Amino acid sequence: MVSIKLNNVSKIFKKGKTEFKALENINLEIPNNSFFGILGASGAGKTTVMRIIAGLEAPTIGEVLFDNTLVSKDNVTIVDPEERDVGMVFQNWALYPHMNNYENIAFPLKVKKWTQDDIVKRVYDLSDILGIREVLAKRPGEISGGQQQRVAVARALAKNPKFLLLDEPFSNLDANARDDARALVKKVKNDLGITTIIVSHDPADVFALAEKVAVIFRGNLVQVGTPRDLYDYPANEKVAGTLGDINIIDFDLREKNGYYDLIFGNFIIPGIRLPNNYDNNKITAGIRPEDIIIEKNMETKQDDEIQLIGEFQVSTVNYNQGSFAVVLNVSETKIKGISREPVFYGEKVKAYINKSKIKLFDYKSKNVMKPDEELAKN
Amino acid sequence: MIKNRNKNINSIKSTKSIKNIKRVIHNLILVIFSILWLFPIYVMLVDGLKSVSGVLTTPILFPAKSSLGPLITVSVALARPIFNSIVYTVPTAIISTYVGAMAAYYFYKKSRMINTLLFTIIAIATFVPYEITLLPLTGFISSIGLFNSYLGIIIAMLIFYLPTGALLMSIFLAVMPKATLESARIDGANDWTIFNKIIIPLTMPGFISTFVFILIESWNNFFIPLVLVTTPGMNSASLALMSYTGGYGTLYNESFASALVASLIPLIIFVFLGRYFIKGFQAFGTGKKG
Repeated sequence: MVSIKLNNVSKIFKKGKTEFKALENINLEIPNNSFFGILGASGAGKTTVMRIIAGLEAPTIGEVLFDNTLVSKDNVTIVDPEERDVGMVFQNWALYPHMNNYENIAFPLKVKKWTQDDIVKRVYDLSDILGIREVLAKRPGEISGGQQQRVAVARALAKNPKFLLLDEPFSNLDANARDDARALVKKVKNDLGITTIIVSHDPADVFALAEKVAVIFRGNLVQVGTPRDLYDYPANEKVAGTLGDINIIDFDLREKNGYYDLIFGNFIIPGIRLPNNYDNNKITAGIRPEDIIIEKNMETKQDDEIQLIGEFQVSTVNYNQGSFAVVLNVSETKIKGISREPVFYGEKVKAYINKSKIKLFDYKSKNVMKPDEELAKN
Repeated sequence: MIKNRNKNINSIKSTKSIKNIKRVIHNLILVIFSILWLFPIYVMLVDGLKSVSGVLTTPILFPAKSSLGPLITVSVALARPIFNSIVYTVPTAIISTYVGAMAAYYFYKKSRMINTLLFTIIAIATFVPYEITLLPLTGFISSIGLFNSYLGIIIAMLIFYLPTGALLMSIFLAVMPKATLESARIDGANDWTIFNKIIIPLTMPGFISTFVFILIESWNNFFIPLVLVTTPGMNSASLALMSYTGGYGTLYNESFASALVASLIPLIIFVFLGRYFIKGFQAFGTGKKG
């Protein structure tokens, strides 16, 4: 059990004469016993963060501390990965193909020179928790992806590591296996009470698992918070996009009695409050698909928040777990919304919008502006 | 319509016949190559089994009444040299492959400028002709007091075959997934454990083919024993073979019989480990270095 601290960590990769800045001034504290997520698009540098924590890379500049003990600093690895006592599940699981699953899980224990009896007990205990007892005699190549992943988790947990690192652990699984695997990881984490860090590009992973999330974009740490906070109050357009599907639209502004109408072709959102000092005639808004309600026959009740904004033509429809993801064609731009009833290509439908959920970003900086209610209070 | 269909059938027929011709040419080439490869073995067998009168009465390419006489004679004479060759080559091949693999692991792990240079030197060392090292090699082995000894020859062979082992093994190691080794480090394994428990088992086909390659190369090596051995009791199989060729009055049935006997050991090893050898060479295609 340990807390992890990254102070001003930067990582620069050199290949010949070209330099690539993978991470820039990352400051991060991962508290003891937490389930922490690191979210970012591929190439954003999130795996590098994990490799630096594991000790497979040293930060070019900056320090890494485990419970106030310096483990690496300024391009020097002070504590080698084999001494750090971490468990890690790799993206492709990196099981040893020439050993059977029992030997895979027992490998870290044999290295630590545990007695044979202790090893047998530990491997059986873990495989009971993870439900892989019956595949122990097989080799990793002979079992399913989901089982391989469980073996990898068991191997990572075998030596009672100080904390557990999961590098995109679910990306090689199909959708059903992924849900099971997430539930299992959550259960194991809760049962063992071990600090766990998950790196992923998939917001679903962090929503299902993490208590706190750090979003990394192009090597920079953009925002840290609970998944809910980040989803509803993203710091900027990029965070909003990383956390889930979102329509990012540049609106024209029209003032009316201190309120503004946001205008994009015939997609008009009325009565939005803006800061007094906002001095641009355009604004960028992010609207998540679930906040654009599409209807054909049903009538949604309108109130202060939910308002009808007009009729549009359906461009494409996708059925997705109980609802229909509808793409509307608005002035040559695709806007995504959600419908609970089936609608079809080319039909005219009504679109409602949940105004309280609109995220407003400064047109120039693309940084978030304070939510409407807070402005109203001021 | 019908005309068109006939045309189609004709074109199908012609593509079929082109395919057949291709297949025939393909097989023909394979047959020619097989004959080329089998021809020396044929000659070795036919002539190695000839009696003295057979040698005198039949042309070299035709079989005569067979006799085991020459085979038995040379087997007795070659027993000691073959034993010597085994003592020279088996340790050489094992050590070269194992230590070469260690070097390969180092180069795999640390890719730095200096290592690229070192690796290039090793690659060049693999191709140094033995002859130009005649004086330094003899001087070195004598100065450590191992001239005309088993150990001396093994050391001399190691000088030449260690780089070969490192070169071949680094080609096989290049295809190892890095994540597997990193995962072993995180599991707490040190370099020694990673090398013995992960690298060696995972590169086994490559390891065996490197071993077989070095074994056959050193078995056929003529020069090193020639310059480092002075007493006939220390002769290698390759040296002993020489006494059956050239000079006056040699009967060629014995030359061929001795060649047959001397090639038996590498042949047996190749037959048993050949599939690994081929597997190993297939890995060459995906290797990065070399």
